[in-house]
Amino acid sequence: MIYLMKKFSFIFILYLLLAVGLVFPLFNYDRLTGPDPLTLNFVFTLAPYLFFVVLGAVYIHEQLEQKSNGYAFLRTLPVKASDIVVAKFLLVLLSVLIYIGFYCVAFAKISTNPSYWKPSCSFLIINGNICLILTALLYVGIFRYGYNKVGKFVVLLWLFIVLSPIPINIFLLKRLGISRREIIERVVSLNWVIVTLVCVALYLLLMRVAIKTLEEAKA
Amino acid sequence: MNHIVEIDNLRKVYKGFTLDNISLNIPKDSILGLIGPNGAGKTTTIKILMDMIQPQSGSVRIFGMDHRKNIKHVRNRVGYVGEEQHFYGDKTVAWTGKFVSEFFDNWDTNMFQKLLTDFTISRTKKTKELSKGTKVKLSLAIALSHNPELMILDEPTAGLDPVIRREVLELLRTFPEDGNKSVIISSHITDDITRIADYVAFLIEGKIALSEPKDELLSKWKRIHYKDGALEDRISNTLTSQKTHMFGNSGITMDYPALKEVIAEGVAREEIKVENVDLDDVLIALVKGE
Repeated sequence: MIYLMKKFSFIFILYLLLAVGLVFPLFNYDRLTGPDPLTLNFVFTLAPYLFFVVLGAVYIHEQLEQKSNGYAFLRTLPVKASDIVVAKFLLVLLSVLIYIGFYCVAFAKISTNPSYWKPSCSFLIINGNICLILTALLYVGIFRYGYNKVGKFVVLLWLFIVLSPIPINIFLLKRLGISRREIIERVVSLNWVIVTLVCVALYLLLMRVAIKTLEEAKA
Repeated sequence: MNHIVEIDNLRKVYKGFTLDNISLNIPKDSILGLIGPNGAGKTTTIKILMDMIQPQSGSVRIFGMDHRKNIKHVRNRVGYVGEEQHFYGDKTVAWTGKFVSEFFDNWDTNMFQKLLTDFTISRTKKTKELSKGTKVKLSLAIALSHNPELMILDEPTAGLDPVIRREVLELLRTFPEDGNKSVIISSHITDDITRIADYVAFLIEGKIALSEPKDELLSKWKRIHYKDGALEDRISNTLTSQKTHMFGNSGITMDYPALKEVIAEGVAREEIKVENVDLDDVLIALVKGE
């Protein structure tokens, strides 16, 4: 399984490097130069990047698997469907942990104000949980309905995640008068330890569903 | 355990096609040829054996084990060459060999390198650049390099040139000689099966129409040529694939030993001639069901 993870990891590493190496300095250069660089805007934009990194990596990886008939090849080898699925799910979990870990450390380093970076980290962790569930559902969908059908849906979902903060911002701020700070405060006021435990349990449950689905899928 | 593979009552239903009541036992040290026209269910049966498709009912035991519960162990001991060859197209042959070697317990790198040389497969070529024949050879090299006890091959010779086809068949023919090894090969090219198989099973429209040791089958099935009146009606009516031509009539009997005494006189008078049939004739007779 470790060997499979190594084989699958290339795209994930590439996307993580892209996220932490390029996105961080390029998109946040101006914010890094302010008096306290950890602004709400910054935290608010990081969530979509998490989805970009993880869902994007899964999307591209599955596209390559589809193109090269990877599953058909793997199923001729002494590999259980569970090995394949667990390797993929662990990679996603690792990617989310690396992403969140990197930014939480970065928040602590760049911000002098704990009342800023603590909720920021919580906000990111909760987004990480949502990302895990979405990715697990994506895998189940791909194994059940095939990449071609689910792939189109992923593009739409990804576009929605990336673009939705703009209309949500406008709607919340202009119409309802709710600020981003309030949204973040409401989100992080949840007990994110429990939320995380519930989400990870759900993620593992969906992993079992994905294994069963891949086992039943036609070669 | 005398059988390396035991298939019991397999059933798989697709829209417009049903694989039904498939039961077969494959002895050790033998080669089974699975013969049938296109769409008869050969690939489905083989994919069920490799746990690539799940049947609705029935069971498969390979090496005495439930193949689904022990699929990792089973695939470690089975060399599989599918109808289509799937590799990571952007990767080279050398990479592919290294990649698959990680999964097999008994991988023999020297054997793989030798087979690549014997089959003249370039190690540096990307697998997507290989011809169909070379892909089959690469599949065979992989299948043989982990010392399998059972080879399962689905139409391996289709699309191969005659020289390579002969080499592949020779390789398979000698495979069980190592002891305790068996081969299951499916093909609609009956000539291939005739060359190498010990047992044959005819799969017609999703059902096993006939399953017997090849030599026994060919000793029982004969074509009888006879002049008008040379054969009693009760005998001629039992013949299949009947034809009438300017020299007389002919048909195929499925039980020549029972007929041999009865027609001996006619044969002596040269009014009846007995001719060997090949597996093609048997297949056609079974398909047409005349």
